[in-house]
Amino acid sequence: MHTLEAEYRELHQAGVVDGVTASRAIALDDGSLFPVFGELRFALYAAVAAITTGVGMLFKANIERIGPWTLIGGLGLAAAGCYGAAIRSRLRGEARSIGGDYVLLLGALILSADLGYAESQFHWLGPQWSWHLLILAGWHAATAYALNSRLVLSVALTSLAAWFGVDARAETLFRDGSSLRHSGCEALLCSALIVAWRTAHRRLRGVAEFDEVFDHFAANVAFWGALALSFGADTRAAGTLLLLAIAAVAIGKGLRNRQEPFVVYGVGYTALGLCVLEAQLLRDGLATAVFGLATVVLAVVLLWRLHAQLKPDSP
Amino acid sequence: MFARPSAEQERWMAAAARLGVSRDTPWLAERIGGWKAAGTFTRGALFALGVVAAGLSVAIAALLHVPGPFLVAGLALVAVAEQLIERRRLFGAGVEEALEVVGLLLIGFALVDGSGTAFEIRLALALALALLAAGLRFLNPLFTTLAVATLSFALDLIVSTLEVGALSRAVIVAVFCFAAAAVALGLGAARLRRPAHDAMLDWLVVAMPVAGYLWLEGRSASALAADPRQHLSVASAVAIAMPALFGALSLRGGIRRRRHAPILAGMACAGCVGYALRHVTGLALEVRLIVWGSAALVLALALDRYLRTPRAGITSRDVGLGKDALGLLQLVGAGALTPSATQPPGAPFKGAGGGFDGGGASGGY
Repeated sequence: MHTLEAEYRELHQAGVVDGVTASRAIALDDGSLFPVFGELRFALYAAVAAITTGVGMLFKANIERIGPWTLIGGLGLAAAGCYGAAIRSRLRGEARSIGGDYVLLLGALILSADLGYAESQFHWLGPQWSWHLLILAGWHAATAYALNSRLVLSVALTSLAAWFGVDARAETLFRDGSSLRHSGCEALLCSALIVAWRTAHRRLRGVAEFDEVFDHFAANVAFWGALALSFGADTRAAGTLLLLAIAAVAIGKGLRNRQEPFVVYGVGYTALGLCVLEAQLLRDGLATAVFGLATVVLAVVLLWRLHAQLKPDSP
Repeated sequence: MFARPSAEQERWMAAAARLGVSRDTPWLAERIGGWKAAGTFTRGALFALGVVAAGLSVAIAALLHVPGPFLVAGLALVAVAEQLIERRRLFGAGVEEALEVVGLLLIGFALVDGSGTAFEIRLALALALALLAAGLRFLNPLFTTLAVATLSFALDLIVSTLEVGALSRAVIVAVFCFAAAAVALGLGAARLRRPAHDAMLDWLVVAMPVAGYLWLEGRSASALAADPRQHLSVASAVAIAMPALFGALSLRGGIRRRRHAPILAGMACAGCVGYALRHVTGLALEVRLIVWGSAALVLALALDRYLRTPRAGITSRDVGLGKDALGLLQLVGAGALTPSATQPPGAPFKGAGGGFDGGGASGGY
């Protein structure tokens, strides 16, 4: 074990940190205050992941035995129970704990699985079956706002992206031709919609904690779309220009607001895109490796310089 | 001999990082001695870029038909890394760690004689040594943990040359892993100067029991495949007993010492035991996932409620010092669990998965 109590006390005496911060740091250091928040969060996530994975497998394995309506009804009740706990807390004016957050997330995930299963069984939406994802996105967005949950907002944005056809798997970036161009455009459209949503959210003075969720989703979906376009033969130029433009916006935002992840997105995605572009255009192993190395070295230098402009030790 | 922050400088760097204090503060800057590190996110990105750069360097050396490309590239990478540390005062920035660890691994690979018997054993030992050297050079817990894990591979290869059965072989390697974790758990009680030494021990406490269980689990599956009638073979019993015993010890130690790593190790061991119990319960996988997941959920909720009021200082509230670094990961995790339909109607529905798949605005893709 180590303790930094002496350092904390010196920092306080030197006036670098205030007394409250120093006291809390010392309490955390010597164990007189010991939060197990992190451990609980890990356990809750593992539990939710296990349950939702089991639910998905339950559908596939037991549809003939149990019957669709029994499954739909049972899971619907389970989801309702999860939502009910969160609604009760809200009505009582109580702050929801980390456990309550994950129970609500579980309810949202079970509901998503339930509706998807019902649609796949009864084809209520016919050929427009994928619109159930948009319905889910709307429902989750509404409940995220009503119950003030960033986790459920993440589920809403993921469902929205899925409806747009955004595929986060790396191998799909290397598909051929029109399907790649199509999915790249859809991803950019999705990102634009998320940005518009965020703008409306801010104008209407929505919950400040939601901004970060919108920003990260919009940035990553936009970069994914730009990469998809830059990897396509007939959209390469436009895609690369878009990639550089989005990177400039992300880096600018990261520097302005001291948000390190956006600087990393800007440099990292651009380096990836340029390296793949070089491999596609040069077609000579040695030249590709040399240009690739130069690109990566430049990316490292740029990222380090930009990092130096930010507050050190930001997470 | 090798430039790196002194114990006192490292302690100031750690204190500044935990309190979110800028290192440019003059009062602090003179105590840190000009050493530069990066936050977790940037460090990870720089490490990834460093690994790519190292790989491309090796590729260039090979394409230029440089004699002994691995050795040459390895030495060059280590030299560049040391220059970054010496001249730029980088330590914990990610890129110098990536260059040096890849360089040392390449040197280790190049120096192992490919001819003769026991090549795999020598290679495993060389790689373990390279990782250990990198870990001690950079005080990096990831490298030291990988070194010990690689050593378990080397031990498995050594034992395979002896005339022991598959189960005994797995038990020997698993005992090594659990013993390494136990030693780390014991040493963790000592008062250490460097925070990095604590981190190295913590990583071993969490990772090595899981590694030991995986060694046992692999052999257990083989044993059951050989004799399916046995629902609780010796291998399964050992696979349950070892993580259960270590998990209980580490959980107790973590609560007593107020340390997070042993508690996480206890939780990981509980997961291993839960998985190993499948031979006893005989339930279908989806039922086990739902039952164990629900049990874990109920337990976590109960603990959350019980510890909302601090008990002997232990609380479930988030009372940390700064910004929640794992908050972003939490959002990604929620998105990753979101189910999305990938098949048109009529096909079997695919539930929660590890990524999101497009449904397509037009219904097709």
